[in-house]
This record gives sequence, C-alpha cells and structure tokens, in this order.
Amino acid sequence: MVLAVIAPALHRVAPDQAGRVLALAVAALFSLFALTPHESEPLVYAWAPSLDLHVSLLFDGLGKLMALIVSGIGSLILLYANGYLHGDGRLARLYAALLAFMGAMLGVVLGGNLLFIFVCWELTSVTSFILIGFDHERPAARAAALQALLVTGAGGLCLLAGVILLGLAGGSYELSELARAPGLREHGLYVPALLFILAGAFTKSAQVPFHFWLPGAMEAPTPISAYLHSATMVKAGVVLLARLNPALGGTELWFGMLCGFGGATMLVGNLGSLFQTDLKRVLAYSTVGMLGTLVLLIGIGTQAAMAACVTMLAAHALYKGALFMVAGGVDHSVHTRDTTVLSGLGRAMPITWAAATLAALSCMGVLPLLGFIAKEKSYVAALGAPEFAPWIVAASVAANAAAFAMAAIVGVRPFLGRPMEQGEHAHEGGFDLWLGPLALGLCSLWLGAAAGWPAAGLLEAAAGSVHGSDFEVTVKLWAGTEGVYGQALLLSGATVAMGAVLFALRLPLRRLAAGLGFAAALAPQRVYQLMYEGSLGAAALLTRRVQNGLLNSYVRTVVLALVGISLWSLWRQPHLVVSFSVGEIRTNEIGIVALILVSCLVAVRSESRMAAIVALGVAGLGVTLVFALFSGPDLAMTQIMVETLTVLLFVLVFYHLPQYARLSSSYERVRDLAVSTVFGGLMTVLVLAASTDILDAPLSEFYAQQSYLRGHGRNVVNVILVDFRALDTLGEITVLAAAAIGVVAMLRLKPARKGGA
Amino acid sequence: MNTLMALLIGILYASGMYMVLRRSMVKLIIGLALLSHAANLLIFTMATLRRDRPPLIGEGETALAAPYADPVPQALILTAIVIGFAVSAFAAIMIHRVYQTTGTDDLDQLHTTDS
Repeated sequence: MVLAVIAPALHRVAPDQAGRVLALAVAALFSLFALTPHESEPLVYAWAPSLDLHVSLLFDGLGKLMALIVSGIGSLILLYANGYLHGDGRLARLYAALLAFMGAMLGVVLGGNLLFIFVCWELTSVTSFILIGFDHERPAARAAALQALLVTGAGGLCLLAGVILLGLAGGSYELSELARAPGLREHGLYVPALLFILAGAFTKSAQVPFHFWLPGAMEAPTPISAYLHSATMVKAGVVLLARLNPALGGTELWFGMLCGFGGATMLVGNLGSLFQTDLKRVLAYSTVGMLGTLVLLIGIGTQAAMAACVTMLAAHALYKGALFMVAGGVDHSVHTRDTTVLSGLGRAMPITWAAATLAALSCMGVLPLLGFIAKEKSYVAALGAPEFAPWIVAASVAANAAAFAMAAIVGVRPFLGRPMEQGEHAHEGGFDLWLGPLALGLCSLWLGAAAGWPAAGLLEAAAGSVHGSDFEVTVKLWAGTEGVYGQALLLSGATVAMGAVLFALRLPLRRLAAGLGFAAALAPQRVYQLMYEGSLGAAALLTRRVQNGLLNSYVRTVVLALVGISLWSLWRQPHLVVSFSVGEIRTNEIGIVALILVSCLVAVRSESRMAAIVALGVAGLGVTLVFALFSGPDLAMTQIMVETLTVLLFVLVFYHLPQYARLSSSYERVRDLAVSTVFGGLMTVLVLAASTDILDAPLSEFYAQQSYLRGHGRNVVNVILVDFRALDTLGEITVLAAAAIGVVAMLRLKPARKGGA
Repeated sequence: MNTLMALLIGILYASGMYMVLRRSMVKLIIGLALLSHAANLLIFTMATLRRDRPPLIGEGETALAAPYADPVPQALILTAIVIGFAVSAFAAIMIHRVYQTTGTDDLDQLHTTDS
C-alpha cells in the first residue's frame, strides 16, 4: 500500500543511472503490486486536514490492474528507451520525465479522492507536455506538445469544475462515499457536473472531437509514444469514467453521452488509421479508436460490458505497447516508418517479427490470444446493450474489421514480401529493443491461451469495481457456441473476413479517401488552430486598445469609471438630499467667485501661454481671497506666496516651450468637454450632498482645547502642523526636498545626444 | 454661499480635467494646478465656511471660543498647497526636460518608450 507513495519518490532516483537499473526498480514495484492483494476499502492519509483534504488510495481491482499495466509496461519502456536512444545525452532527462509521469499516473489510477486524482491528472498533463516536446529543438514537436497541453489542460479545467460540482452535490470528494451517496443522480447539479467531467475525460482520452491531439503527439520519440499512448495517459480519462461509473452511471444522459461519443470515436479512429501511412500515426489513430471502444463499453454499463472493458483495457495495453515498440525498432533499423515502403524485414529482424506477429494477432482478435477474448466479450456486451444494440454491434464490427486491417498493415506487412530497397542494412536491434515487445506479445499469448490465468481473478475484481458490485467474470478462451456466445463468434468471423477485405483494398481506399478529402475528418484540428490564433490575436488587439500609450485615453477611462461608480453609489443612497440653500451671500464674495471663474475660463480658452499663466495666477489670487475671507489667514498667506512662485516658475519654463498648436480635432474637444463637464457636475453634486451632513468633529474640539495648554501656541493650525502632527510635516518637507533634488538633477544633467537612444 | 462654492468647485474641476485631457504638456500642467485649487477649495468648503472666526486663541484665553473655523482642514490644505507647489515645479521642469530631449510637447507623440 505504501508503494504508490514510494513511486513519486522514485523520481528522485538520480537520472544518471542506466535505464536497466531503473527498469529493474520499476519491475520490482510491479511485482510488489502484483503480490499485494487488492481490497475495496480505501486507505486514507491526511494531506491538508485543515482543508478536509485527504489522500486516499484505492487499491481495488481496477486500481491494481492499472497499476500493474503502468508499472509493468513502464519498466519495459525504460529498458527500451535505453536501447532506442542509446548514447543520447538527453536520456537522463527522458528517464526523469518518464518516472515523474509514471508517479503521477499511478496517482491517477490509485487515487480514491477526486481532488487528489485531479492533482495527479494535471501532473500527467504537464509531464506529458515535457515528454511530447522532448525533441524541443524541432518546431513540430513543440507545436504538438503545446497542442496536447492546451487541449488536455482545457479539459483539466473542465474536470476541476465538474469535480467541485460533484463534491457539492454528493457532499464528499471520496469516491467510495460518492458511490453510496443517495439521490446523487437526481441532484440539480448532476447534469452540469457530469458534462464538465465528461469534457475533461474526453479531452484526455482523445474522444471525438478532441481526438486530433493524439496523432499530433506522435512527434515524440517512440518510447514516449509507446508509453503515453498505449498504456497510460490516454487511459486516464477511461479510468476516471470507470471510477465514477458506480457514482454517476446508469442514467440516460450517461448512456447517451458515452455511447454516442465513444461510438463515434471508435469509428473515426479505427477507419482513420487505414488512411495513414506513417507507422506511428496508424497506431495513434487505432489507439483513438480503441479508447472510443472503451468509453462505449463503460457507457453500456452492463456486467458483460464491464468485463469486456477491463479485458479490452489489458489486451490493448499489451498489444499496442508491443506494436509501438516494434514500430520504433523498425524505424531504428531502417530509418523509415512509411508503411508503403516497408516490406520483407522478417528475415533480418526475426525476433521483432515474432513480437510483431503476436501483437498484431492479438489486435486482430485471433485465437488464441488475449485480444480474441476481449473482442468476444465486447461483442457479447454490444449484443446485450439495453438500447440501440444493433447499431452498436454494427459499429463495433466495422471498427474491429478496420483494426484487423490496421494490425495487418503494421504488424504483418512490413515483415513479409520482397526485401525492400533500403533494407540491406536492416538488422535486429539490441536486447533492450526486442525484449519489451516480445515480452508483451508473449503475455498476450499466455493470458489468452491460459484463459486469463493467473490474471482472471484480477479482471473479475476490476470489472466489479467498475460496475460497483461484485459479479462473476468468466475468462474462457472458448466459450462455446451457445446463445450470445455463438452470435459473438459469428460476428468475429465476419470481422476477420471484412478486415481481410479492407486490408486488400487499402490502397484503392486510400486513393478514394484522398479524392474525397477525407481530411475533412480533421476539421477539429482546424478549429483548434483558429481558436489558438484567434486568442493570440484577440490578446494583441486588447493590448493595443487598452495599453495604447495615450495619456488622454488612460485619464478618460479612469475618470469615467470613477464617475460611473460614484453615480451608482449615489443612486443607491436612499436619503440623498441636495440642498440649494443660498444662505447669506455678500457682494464681495460674489465678486471673488466671479473673478476665479473668469480667470479659470481664460486659462482654459486662451491661445497664448503667457495669458493662460497669468489667468492661472489670478485664479490663485481669488482662492487666496476666499481663504482670507473665511477665516483661513495662514492658508491665504501660504497660497499667495506659492502662487507667486508658481507663476514666476511657469513663465521661466514655458518660455522655452513651443507655442500652442491646435492638436486635437473638434470631435476630441467635444468628447473631452463632455467628460470633464460630467466630472465637474459630479463634484458639485458631491459637495452639495456632503454639506448637508453636519460633521461631528471631536478631533477639532481636542485641538481647540489643547493647543495652548499643551502646545503653547495661539495659532491652532500652526500648532497642529509643527507640534501635534510634526512627523507629518517632516514627511512633507522630505517630499519637497526630493522634488528639489529631482529638479536640480534634471536641470544639471546634459540632454542626451541626438540619435543616441 | 455653499451652493455658489459648490458650483465654483465643479467648474474648477471640469476646467482642470479638460486641460489634463489636452495633448499639450503645458496645458496638462495648468490643468493640474486648476485641479489642485479645486481640491483645496473642496476641503475648505466641506468644513463649514465661517466668516471672521480664524482658529486663533485670543490673548488671555486658553482655548478657542466657539464658534470657530475648523483648524484641521486648514492644516490639511496648508500641507496640500505646499505639496501641490512641489508637484507643479517638478512637473514643469520635467516637461521642459522632455521637450529638450524629444523635441515635442505633444503627449500623443510620446506613446512609446522607444525613440
């Protein structure tokens, strides 16, 4: 049980070690997993107890099956990578990334808490980004990695939303508790939660219409493709759906969504694989198809379907991993992956040939391999589907026939026939290269021929944990010809026949497809491109609009926002009183106000800088008079001195600046006038509204009482500034000093030479 | 008088803002000066206008006799006047310097940091 915790710690196993050692370590992990009995109750560790977060590990049948696949194939892949990239300096990095990925993946398959699963899920997205973009010097690899990250990352966000909704609906993030939660399927949040989670799972598992990233991800070196896309990452979505089936499954929506998308993916993937010529792309499309099948089976939801699903899961991991490694071996040997060129390699690469044949036969679903059992089971499940059974059966047969042809193209054709032209240098790869595929191929044979022994019990337990209740699963090579089994056998026969025809017709089919523009099936890829470029363009446009570098528009935005917010909050004031009481006004006061107004307007309207400055000075003088009249002698004295200085300074400085020019258009003037009028109006309203409230001023009262007694001064304002609030005044002086230093610095530094910067 | 002052303050704010929105740097500075007048008068008016009651303690008394003009806003305004002057002086010298360096006083010409 502690093993899954050890797994992440394995990342730290220094990358400098040889792949073989690491492979052995992971193989040891594999055997430990194999020897640990599965149990259905989760193991809970506290993670962040204050947030009520726990790491719970669920080592039930499904968890154990997936853990075995992940660690078993993982160890073979490490070995394979050692041979494939032998002597490459980046090998260390590859090991580290692969092990990190493996740890995250184990977290996904063993996690019992949805939040924990989500964290590991995101980790697999990130590590797979690193892995797919392993050849980071090639733009294509970078683009593919980014595409995979964006698609699965977007899906991850959907998943998070779904998980949270589900947690709210079910009252827990523990899978085991959710499965028991009553009324979850009738809860109002069920539908949105389900849709979000499905979006996450579908993007991860490359379901139509998100399937396009998977073939793109073939840019990675073969060991990575083999691992990510046969056994692990793409299965994460399937595993998640399988995990949630006991909690969420069994509704119309669940059935419809999973069967619809799964079925479509199954057809698109498997048929699409026939139109590819690159070995790895063929395999990638076929993987897409297989993932569709698995989702379809989970959607059907019967006991037979669950049994088929887990068997298929295991069979696919075994043969697809082997086929990927074979493809890599071929590529390594003759440096091409073009299926139209490859032929006659069997003589030069006998061991790889044997492995390829075993894997291909399993993929075709031929007696006596595990693939046969899996295919039979899936037919039985399709026949037993609660609704649309004929359609599902027909789609399955078509998909499996295509898979048959695909396996022939990849696993058989390259090794038969006349030796190819570039084939003189064909040679068997090293031990590292053929051990993996051969071991997996033999596993397929063994598990098939021995009717699942010793894994049958495990498959039963896994199917049980997917279904949510235990039931008996018979893994038999020959189930007889009675009832549904007979029908299934019949369908298998039809599949083989159709597959053979498809294989024979592959070339005309490809030409036909090219003529018809089968690439239309890639439309989601174009949608992705459009969205990607669109969002980049929109960001650039937004930046240009908002960050346009024009002071005018910045100030305008700020002012309008301020006015808007203020008006809104004024509007909500229930008892807003704006009083227009004129009160007592003396003639001299009216004169002063008029003086300020006139000079202010002159300052604004004047075409001459000097006139504007003088007007500004007069306005300042007016303000001084206001202070003097309304009991502010200190203010008046300060204001008049400052005003005088300001006018002098402005005259001196502006003398060197150019005359006013007419810079703004009439439209801009009217617009700015409107903005400033609204602003000024708002300020007036604020003053009127505020002056109706009588300010309670205990502070002023304090100063009035204490100035003489404590400050020993009769001028209260002065006492406040230099005594009670002396530190503030010190700060003010500091500001003045800083400004003075700035002024001096700017005056004394010579201007930069023209053309310098 | 309050109403009159409110109108005056509004007009000062509007004029100042209009000048700040112009493209000429000189007008920007004048606008800032107008805005600072407006703000000072705003604070002053908020504290109830009172004629001939300066916050000065008379000979032989130990405290201000009510009613008196509020000394706290006056202290604030006093600070604001001085700081406003510092800002104006600094800004004036700065645009002078900018004009020397870039040869323009049009703010819209200064929308990029590359030159």
